[in-house]
Amino acid sequence: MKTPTLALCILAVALGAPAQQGAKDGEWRFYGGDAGSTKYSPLDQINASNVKDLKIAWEWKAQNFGRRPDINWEVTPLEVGGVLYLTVGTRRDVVAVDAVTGETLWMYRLDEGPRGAVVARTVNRGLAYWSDGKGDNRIILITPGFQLVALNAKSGLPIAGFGKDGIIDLFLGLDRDVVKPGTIGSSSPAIVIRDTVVVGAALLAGTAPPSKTNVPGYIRGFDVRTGQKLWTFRTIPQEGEFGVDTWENDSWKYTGNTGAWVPLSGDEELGYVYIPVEAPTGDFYGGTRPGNNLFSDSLVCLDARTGKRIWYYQLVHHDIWDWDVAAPPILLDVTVNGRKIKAVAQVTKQAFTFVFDRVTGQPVWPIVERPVPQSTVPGEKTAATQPFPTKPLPFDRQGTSIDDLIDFTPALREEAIKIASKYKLGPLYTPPIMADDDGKIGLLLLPHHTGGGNWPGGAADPETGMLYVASLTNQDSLAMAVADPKRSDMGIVGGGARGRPTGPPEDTPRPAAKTNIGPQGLPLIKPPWGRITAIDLNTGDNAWVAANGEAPDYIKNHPAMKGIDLSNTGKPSRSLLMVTKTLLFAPEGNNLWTPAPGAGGNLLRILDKKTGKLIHQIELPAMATGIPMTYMVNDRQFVVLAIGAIGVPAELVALALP
Amino acid sequence: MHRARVSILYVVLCCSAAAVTRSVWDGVYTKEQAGRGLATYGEECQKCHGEKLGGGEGGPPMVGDEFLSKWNGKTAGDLFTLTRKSMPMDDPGTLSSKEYADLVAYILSVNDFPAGQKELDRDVTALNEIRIEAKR
Repeated sequence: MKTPTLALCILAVALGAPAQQGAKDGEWRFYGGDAGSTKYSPLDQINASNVKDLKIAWEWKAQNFGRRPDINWEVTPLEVGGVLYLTVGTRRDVVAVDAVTGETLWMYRLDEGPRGAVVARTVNRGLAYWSDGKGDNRIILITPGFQLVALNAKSGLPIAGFGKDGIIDLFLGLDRDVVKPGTIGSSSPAIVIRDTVVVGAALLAGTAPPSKTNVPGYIRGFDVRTGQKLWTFRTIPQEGEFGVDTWENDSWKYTGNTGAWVPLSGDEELGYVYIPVEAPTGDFYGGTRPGNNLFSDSLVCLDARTGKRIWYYQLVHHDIWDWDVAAPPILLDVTVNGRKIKAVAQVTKQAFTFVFDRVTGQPVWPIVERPVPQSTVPGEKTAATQPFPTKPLPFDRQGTSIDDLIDFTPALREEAIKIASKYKLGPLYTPPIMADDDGKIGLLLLPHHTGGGNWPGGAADPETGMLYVASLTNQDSLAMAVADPKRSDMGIVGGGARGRPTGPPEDTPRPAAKTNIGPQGLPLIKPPWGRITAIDLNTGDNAWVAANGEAPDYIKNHPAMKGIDLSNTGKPSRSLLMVTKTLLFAPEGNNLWTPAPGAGGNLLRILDKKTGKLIHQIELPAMATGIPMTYMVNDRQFVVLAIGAIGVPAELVALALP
Repeated sequence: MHRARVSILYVVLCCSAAAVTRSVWDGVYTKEQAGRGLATYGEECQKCHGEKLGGGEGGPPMVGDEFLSKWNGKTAGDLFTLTRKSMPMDDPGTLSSKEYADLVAYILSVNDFPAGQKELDRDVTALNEIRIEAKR
């Protein structure tokens, strides 16, 4: 038996095994499982035949980390050598936890003083890991106050030879004389490729920025051994640099944002990192930054060691919808029309999947520029065209028409049409309007900037080339308003979600029914309100589409919905996907803001990844808030995920077979 | 009996009218208090409501005409009570009464209501005596 196995191994090496194989050796060394963010593990101890026997093996409570209990913990732990590593709490402390028992092994807490008191982002998603393979094993943290820290994975102590006593100040080197604490940080971990720590950035939301001047979210690379800065990639080109002409009126001088706030991806073999870049300053108004605004809203491929730009593709020109490239790029190898392609798939908020050859940046299927509606907002200069992939099909509704409105009953339909008549409707890329323009409250934005795909992105099976995407179908009003010059120099800013039928929350925080603009607090748009789409990236065709569960209780119990089958509507949230050899773990999940207990769904749904059919579901103590991960220690497979809700402090739950 | 009822009604109406005696234009908070509110706002609220209350992905604007039109005619007590009951969204009611009062002071300051010599009270009954008036 031994000889044939060895021979097969040698054959596999000789043929050149694919670089992206999901999480290896039963571990989970990257936020997304592997550097390519596939969230795939080939483990199969837990499978369709026994998944019903899954039990909670241990829980790890996060309640006492941070000033107050975190309830929207978007973390996915790493697992290396029987130890979990994760960030925890609003202070983003780091803990190491025994992967079998849940026992806390060490904790690291950096007191950042005033720098850490007011931060751009308190949410945290996790860490990066690096090893030289000879015993130097490091954990890489980005703090809420935007400092880069290298820790000894064994002890949790800072690495003295990295930066200054283990710490690097990330405020430095951003082409601004002063960076005010709280303006820039990061919610996602760094990634380490070719011994280089690559760091993105997250800034405050730009609905109504007080100024067109902001900090740029440059991408930077640091040597993982010394902390020495190796390079800066300016996501807003400066004078003389490629792309600066896409920032008219010298707007490159003052515009900021354009960071990369979701986890990054990379290919160790190629030595490339893949950067999903967000929108520039002014989520919904670009009159202060005319032009296409490279490299905003682009997928950018950089050489990890030098920061040199290998290729880029802009997915939204001159973004005025806040359609950041907001999901980790997914790397996997596929075969299209007989040709093997090292691919990268980028899912987006506006429900597209852009697929490229990740070596060259060439689209796998043609992407065409199509004319789009133009803005009527004063000073706004919309891009004439936007890129539309010809394949795969969009994975969610795009744009709004009367056909999209709910029709459960004739009365609800009539009411929905009446409501919709108050808004501007239109196809994808219809620009926002000034409030009350032509008697309309605002633009009905679909996908909403919090809809479509988002940071949970998708998961992929590198063995089959199948991509799984979770998306949210929500609608909301978007209207622009003249900025009060005392409060903003933008000229025009987003006026928020105008036209909601209710004022401030009164009963419970952010009750879902009160954020819907549809009839009687129901969604305005037809279900499914949350779905999972399986796309075969070898063909570009959908393999299956499934609702992500049943309707939420506030819709089920609505008097107008009596007698209507709501078993296949899905919930208005995004499932948090992880793939194993046979299963797709799809907990009812994150809708960006955790609702009251029960409103978002507490079910861990486990699907047959081939068909999308539900195999089993487990009720968790609260809603999943982080993407699940899996690992094997001592021949036992665990599935771990973060949960929480208002009134239920965050915790990790580990599931395993008895 | 009939006359007695009228008298009681008169007293109630008088008391009710007397209850709201001041408005947000009367310098009902101090600059120092608004400064403390700004610090708390930065730590607890800014991530959703944006810089200077301008609104963000997770929370509506709390400044300007739209905000004021919603609150016009209500009291500082109403604003204090709602904020304490519902915020921070991820853990409502967990700040101290002083911090909630400071936050209301900050909201008033950003909306250009004048500061005065006395801090905004943290007692709801006292706050209910202060009417929010969008225009002077």
